[in-house]
Amino acid sequence: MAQQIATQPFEWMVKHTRQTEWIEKWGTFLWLALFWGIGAGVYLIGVFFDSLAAMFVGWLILFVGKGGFHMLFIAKNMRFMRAMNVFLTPRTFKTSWISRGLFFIMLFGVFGAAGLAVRYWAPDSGAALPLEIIAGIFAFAAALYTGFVLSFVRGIPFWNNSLLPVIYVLSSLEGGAAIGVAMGAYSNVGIDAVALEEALRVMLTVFAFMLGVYLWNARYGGSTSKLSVTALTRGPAAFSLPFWLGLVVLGIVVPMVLAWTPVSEELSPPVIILATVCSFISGLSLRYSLLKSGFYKPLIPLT
Amino acid sequence: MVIDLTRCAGCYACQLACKAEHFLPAGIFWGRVLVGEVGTYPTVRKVNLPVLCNHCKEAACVDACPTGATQRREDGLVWIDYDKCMGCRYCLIACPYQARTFYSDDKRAYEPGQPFTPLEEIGHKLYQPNTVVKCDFCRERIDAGVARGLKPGIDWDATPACVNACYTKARTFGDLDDPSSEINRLIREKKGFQLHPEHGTDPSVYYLQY
Repeated sequence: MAQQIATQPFEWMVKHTRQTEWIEKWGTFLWLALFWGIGAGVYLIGVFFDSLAAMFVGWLILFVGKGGFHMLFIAKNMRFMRAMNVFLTPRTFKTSWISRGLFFIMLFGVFGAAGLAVRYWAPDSGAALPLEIIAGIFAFAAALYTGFVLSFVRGIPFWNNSLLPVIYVLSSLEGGAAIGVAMGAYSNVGIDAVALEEALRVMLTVFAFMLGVYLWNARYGGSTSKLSVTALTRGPAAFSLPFWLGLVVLGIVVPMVLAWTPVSEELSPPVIILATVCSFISGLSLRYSLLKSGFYKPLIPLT
Repeated sequence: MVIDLTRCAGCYACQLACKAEHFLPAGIFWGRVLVGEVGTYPTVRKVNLPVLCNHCKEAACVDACPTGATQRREDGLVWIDYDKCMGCRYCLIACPYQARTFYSDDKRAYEPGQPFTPLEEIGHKLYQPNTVVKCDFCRERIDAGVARGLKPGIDWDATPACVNACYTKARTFGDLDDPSSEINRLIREKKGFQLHPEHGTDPSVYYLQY
């Protein structure tokens, strides 16, 4: 595998070349920004259970956390102010997934804040629910678009896969549900932790299945895509450790084992903390693994 | 543009001419010459592959840019408005040919520890740190030349620097929309091909068989 990857400057695009801009140095902020997409899951669970606290936490994570890390990523020399150009050139909405994503997050921020304000100060007005539903739609769109940002990139076959948006949404929902269970178990915020825990098991199973299908699909998606899968499954520790330890063991196996323990034990404080930490590590590892193993097809040979 | 790979000697003159023409800072290359091997033993051959922005007709970078900084002109040139670029690097990621570079290190000098040379000073005024840069087919030369009634690809002053610098005449520049142009003749007669057409970007840079 190592012979196929460009490691020297003169091998750039002569061998399979890894993208580094979105995972190394300042790219770390982008990785973290993608991770905080789990805020969408928290917000949607808050809407489902009609929990003001969960909606507020979800709004904070998605709008302030994700949006903030995106701004940090482009923060050098006040360059982030130019993100306002997105709203001045709406034609880019037609083609650019980042443009769409910024719209989704901004609209989520506005409608979400309005919904929270109405819910808090005028809970009987009846205006909160429509605002929350609209914000929920934009939260879902915000969870979805990051997958499309990557799947749009035709130069990286591993990403150029229609299953990626599904993986991102499932991961966001699963991460959000884990936070929701922790909130429901520890405080009286209106979340039925037992019901959510049962739903989390289903989400986890579906996520594990879809991840397997995605990797299987990518494995047979051409030599470059196969190389990405090989790097994750059998590559150097920088690729395989986050994948196996972070995503597979702590993200899928441990939560699955916890899911088979009786509910009374499952909702005990140490288990809840372990499950939530595992969910965080899983979300971080998934996004790290995807970004880290994005290889471009070499330009030589010329076909 | 058409690049005849049988003529390319791998001298890097195009790469250097580009750097000089555009005052490119250290570490930034708009054009490169890749050197690789094709075939299997015993019929292995070395190939020099000059690469630059392909100015694709269906450019992924133009579609990806969220601020409208990357634009495609009517004549097909894809260029970046540095004043609009927010440095998200989505265009760079989206380009299957990796023809773009993120210019971030504006403190880096060609000679470490030494002050900038006059050439570097100009480059640092031309480009904004933390924006993406790429080949623009020397659009200033072309625009200035066309304004003087010159013809790109034929007249020196209206032709990209890399084309002028190529002493083996491996590069030919012209109008792809003109069926009678020299580049269209070369593409037709010598079976010109594009790099990775499967990406659906329809590059405007064609290569002739090696």
